[in-house]
Amino acid sequence: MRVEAMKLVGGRGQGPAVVCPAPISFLGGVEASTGDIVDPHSPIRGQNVSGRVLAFPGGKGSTVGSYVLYALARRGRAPAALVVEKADTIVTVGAVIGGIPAIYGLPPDMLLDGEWAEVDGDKGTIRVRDVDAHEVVTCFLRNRGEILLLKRSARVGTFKGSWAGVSGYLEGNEVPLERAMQEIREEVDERDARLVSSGRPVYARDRSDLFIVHPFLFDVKSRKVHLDWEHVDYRWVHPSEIPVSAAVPKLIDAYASAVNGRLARGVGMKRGGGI
Amino acid sequence: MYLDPEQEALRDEGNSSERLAMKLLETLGDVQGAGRLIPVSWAHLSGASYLTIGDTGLEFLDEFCRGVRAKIKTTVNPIALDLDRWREMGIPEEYARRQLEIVDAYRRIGVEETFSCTPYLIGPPPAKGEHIAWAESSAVIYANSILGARTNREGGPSALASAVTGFTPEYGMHLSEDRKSGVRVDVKATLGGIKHSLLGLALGPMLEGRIPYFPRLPGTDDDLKWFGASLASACDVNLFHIEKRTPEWRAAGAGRLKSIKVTEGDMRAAQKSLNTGEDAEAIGVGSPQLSAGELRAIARLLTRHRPKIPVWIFTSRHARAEAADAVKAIEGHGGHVWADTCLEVSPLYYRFKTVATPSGKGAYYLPSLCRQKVVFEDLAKLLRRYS
Repeated sequence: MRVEAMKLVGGRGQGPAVVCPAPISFLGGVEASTGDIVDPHSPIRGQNVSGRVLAFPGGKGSTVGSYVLYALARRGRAPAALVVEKADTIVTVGAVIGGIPAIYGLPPDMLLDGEWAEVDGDKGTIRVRDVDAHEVVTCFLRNRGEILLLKRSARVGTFKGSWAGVSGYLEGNEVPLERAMQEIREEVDERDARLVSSGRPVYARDRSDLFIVHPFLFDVKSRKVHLDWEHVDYRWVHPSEIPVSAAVPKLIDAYASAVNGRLARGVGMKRGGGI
Repeated sequence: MYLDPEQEALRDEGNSSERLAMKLLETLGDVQGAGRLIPVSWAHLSGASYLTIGDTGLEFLDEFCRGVRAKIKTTVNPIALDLDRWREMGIPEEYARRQLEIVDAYRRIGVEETFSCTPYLIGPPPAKGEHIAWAESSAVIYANSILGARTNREGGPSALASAVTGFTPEYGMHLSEDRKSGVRVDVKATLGGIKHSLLGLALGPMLEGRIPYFPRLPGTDDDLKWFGASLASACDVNLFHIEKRTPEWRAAGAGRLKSIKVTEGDMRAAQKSLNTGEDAEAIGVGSPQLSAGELRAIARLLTRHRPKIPVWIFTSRHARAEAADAVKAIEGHGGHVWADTCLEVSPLYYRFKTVATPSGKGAYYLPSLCRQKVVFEDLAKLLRRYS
């Protein structure tokens, strides 16, 4: 797979991924002469970042941390590339003055620890061999404050028996909203939906598959649901009751992204197809 | 982000430091969504103390500050020691040597050797509407709020990049629409002494990034310096407006704003949470550095109280010269007035484990930067308690 992110610092770097789920304090947390993670509170304490593709949410602590990235680079001990979720000042400055290829906008858990990753800072992309990326939409239909969840049948290809929103794969060059509307029609036969908001993509990694989920929130007037072969059950739940382990990966994150996303204006099925 | 031909030439054909500086400004601007780079008239650099930047920072500055000159007025934050009297401060020889290497690097690019966190008190301050690129959060909030100048809260490297190029990315505090207030703040407490610091510390976490508008906030410019320094320590906000007081209050757009209030209880809680020590070994006054007027006030206080523990006072070289009589009086009463350095960027931990201070910013940073315990209290009360 090859996934597009945002460019931070140009150049290419590849190596085994080191995935850190928590922000990194470079000053005091990373040994500048070796690249060892020495922060006792770090979830990747004891690992070494030299020559690796370091994936992490962002920097924290002292802004002097930028100089630690510079010092690592000077000693040839820098990470091969950085994949950072949020381009904060500490990481941005450190990557620039250290000349470390870097991209941003991707969460660290889209990578698995140890797998080989190739970052292209000029194009703003990351490539991981033997991993397939799939773009999908997930629509949350809301009625009287409750959200429609569908239970996936045993006949679908992935996540059999898990709870999900109204979802489907993007086909060809489709834009996500087109697919979202189509899925609502196909799966729940719901023609009276009004788009409320759309969120930034959520990345869900499942073994050798990466799902790039485009989340949408719709208000619907009716609670009537017609299940097709893809689903065996449905229920309307309060957002606080969206399940975690019984659901497809990152369903809650997708919901949060949709709710906090960009507000739509005047997009609805009734108004001439609405797209 | 758009670069004009002059800026492109600097990025592609400047010397290695200029190219790196332009690359840094361009990247930071892109991440922030800035449309272009704009000229700035004054850069103020942080990251001058060996205590804060250490060997890795020194290594960077030593390489960067070669073959390049500051293109605009450039001032520098406090360092770890008083350049004239560091032996008297008890700074180890090796530590001082490394600090002096940092000073040398800055000298090479032609900075004004202010070593002060109050550059607005040295010579003519920036004018209303003037675009500048300052690091040092307490100076940034002062320049934006009290002077109406325009600067984001830069870091050491980005301010340095502005110094050698003369540009900064245009976003945030440089844009009028981002300088409007987002919340009205009613202060339900009497102010005076340490209270301006407490107000900043208590308010910071309540703001959630919104610029505050005060219908009323009494105090001198010095009082507002302490308020701003504490506020900037406790949150990321870089501007406040006070009705009929600060230069942009009319444009602040305070019409239909949500109100929040800060009470005496909030302020007491802020003070309590930063009081981590009991028996102080020294009193440290500064952060930000004291003005000439504040030095005179302390000289008067010390005629009434003579603490039995050392009193260390931090100021700029400029204010120390301006208030020479007061400095003489303070030292006559046993106090020390250090210049070029400040409370939490000087390695006080070589001498004292617990420090008493009236500075909100100092109380906030001493435990992490210097691993010290703090007695955080009004100066007059401290002088009395330790006499």
